[in-house]
Amino acid sequence: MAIVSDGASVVPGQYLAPLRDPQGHYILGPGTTITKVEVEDQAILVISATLVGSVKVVRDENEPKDDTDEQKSPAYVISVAPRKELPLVLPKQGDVVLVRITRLNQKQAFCEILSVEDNKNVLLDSGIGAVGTTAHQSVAVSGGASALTSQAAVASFQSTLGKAVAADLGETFKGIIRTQDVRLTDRDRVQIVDCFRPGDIVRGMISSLGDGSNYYLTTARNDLGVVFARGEGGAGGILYPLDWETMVDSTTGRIEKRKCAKPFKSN
Amino acid sequence: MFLKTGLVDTASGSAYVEADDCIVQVSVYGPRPIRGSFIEKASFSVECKFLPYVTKVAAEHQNTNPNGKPGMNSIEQRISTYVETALLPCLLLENYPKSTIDIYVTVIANKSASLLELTNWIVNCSSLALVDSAIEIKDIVTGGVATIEDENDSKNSQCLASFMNLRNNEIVGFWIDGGQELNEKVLTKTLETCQERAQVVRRNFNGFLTT
Repeated sequence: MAIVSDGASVVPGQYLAPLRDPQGHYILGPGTTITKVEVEDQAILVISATLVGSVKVVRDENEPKDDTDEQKSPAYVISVAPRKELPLVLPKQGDVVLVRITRLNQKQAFCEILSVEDNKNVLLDSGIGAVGTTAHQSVAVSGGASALTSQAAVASFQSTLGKAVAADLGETFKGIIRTQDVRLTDRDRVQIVDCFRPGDIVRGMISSLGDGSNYYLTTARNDLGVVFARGEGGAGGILYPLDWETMVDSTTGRIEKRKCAKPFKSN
Repeated sequence: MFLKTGLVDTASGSAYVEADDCIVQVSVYGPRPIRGSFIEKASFSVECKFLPYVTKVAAEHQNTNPNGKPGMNSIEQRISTYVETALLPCLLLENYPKSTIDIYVTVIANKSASLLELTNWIVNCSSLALVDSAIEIKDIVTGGVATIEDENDSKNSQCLASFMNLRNNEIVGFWIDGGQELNEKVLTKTLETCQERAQVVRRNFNGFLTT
């Protein structure tokens, strides 16, 4: 038996269930962690909550069938659903995301991540600047800890308005689509300008956490690529895909090249 | 005591605490993207600032801050360091790669609280703000302040200790202010008082968070 019942509201640190008990064993779901509790000189591993929210106990369906142990106890996944909507999600490897292309060069397209599919926006503001410049300057070039070395980072130093730096705006997670990740075939002859243009909204998949500043994305799948674009560098009409590498301007009929996402679900 | 969370819209989480005449506001930003080289765990920073008219604790300590971060005077620096040390063990930084979690503390008013009492409220308020931000934490850190009592003590020393109550009352922060000489008996007794007080705060927080 779990210590708390399904649906109970919990606070961070609260014990939810022991890792193992006579009725079954428990698996950590989202919003939980392991605590080592010492009782009567014995250390017991307990699953505890990390968020304020309600407990969900679900029978683990895909537990491995083990023939050797017939009386195997059932497994339950125990997780905490946050009461408040999570302020933002961190993109993970394998997530499908929507990005906006910001600039191009010969080898790669740079973009900012707008939202994670089946989840929500990565940042509340989608790039307008979550903090602003009035009170606290945002993260310094080399990360949060060193933000404090800057005079402007201090709360009472109110006269920073005129000194906005690049880091103040567009506080989004950045990404890169390299030429070899654009499509699956003929990868060494990819011309970035024939695939993306700044301003395009692209559906991509995170292939790696990348380096400090950029996630690496791939569009090498039929359902990944440009999903929304305007012609003539954003001045023209909305483009519609003709085939996987051509789009047509709805008003002028002009043809432009893009790496399009397949707009239909394939069976 | 008055508690309120979620007052700052642009922050991921925030908390506002009024305890007697000591008013503290804390905002949590993050996880935010970093620039620079790859880090596997989130970086964590705390910055404390007194509003200009809050002089109670600030004026009692001279500003000798040759090596600290510019913009913070020595007392703000010391409080920030304590809060950072106390909250680090409760964070699951490995869940947030290549990002940063920043805490900004503003002391809005303080008439009578001593340095340690004020710091204690800052830690408590920061914990609450972390909970409000839905950043995953192992336990809520709370603390208590006790006066160190010895028969021949006239130095009025104080002791602040912060705990993770549900993790075997692990002490995550410890600060003694004053010139009192210590022995094991006195220290044990003082820590017990601190722990009792931390548990009272924790009970109140639990009640506040579940209603």
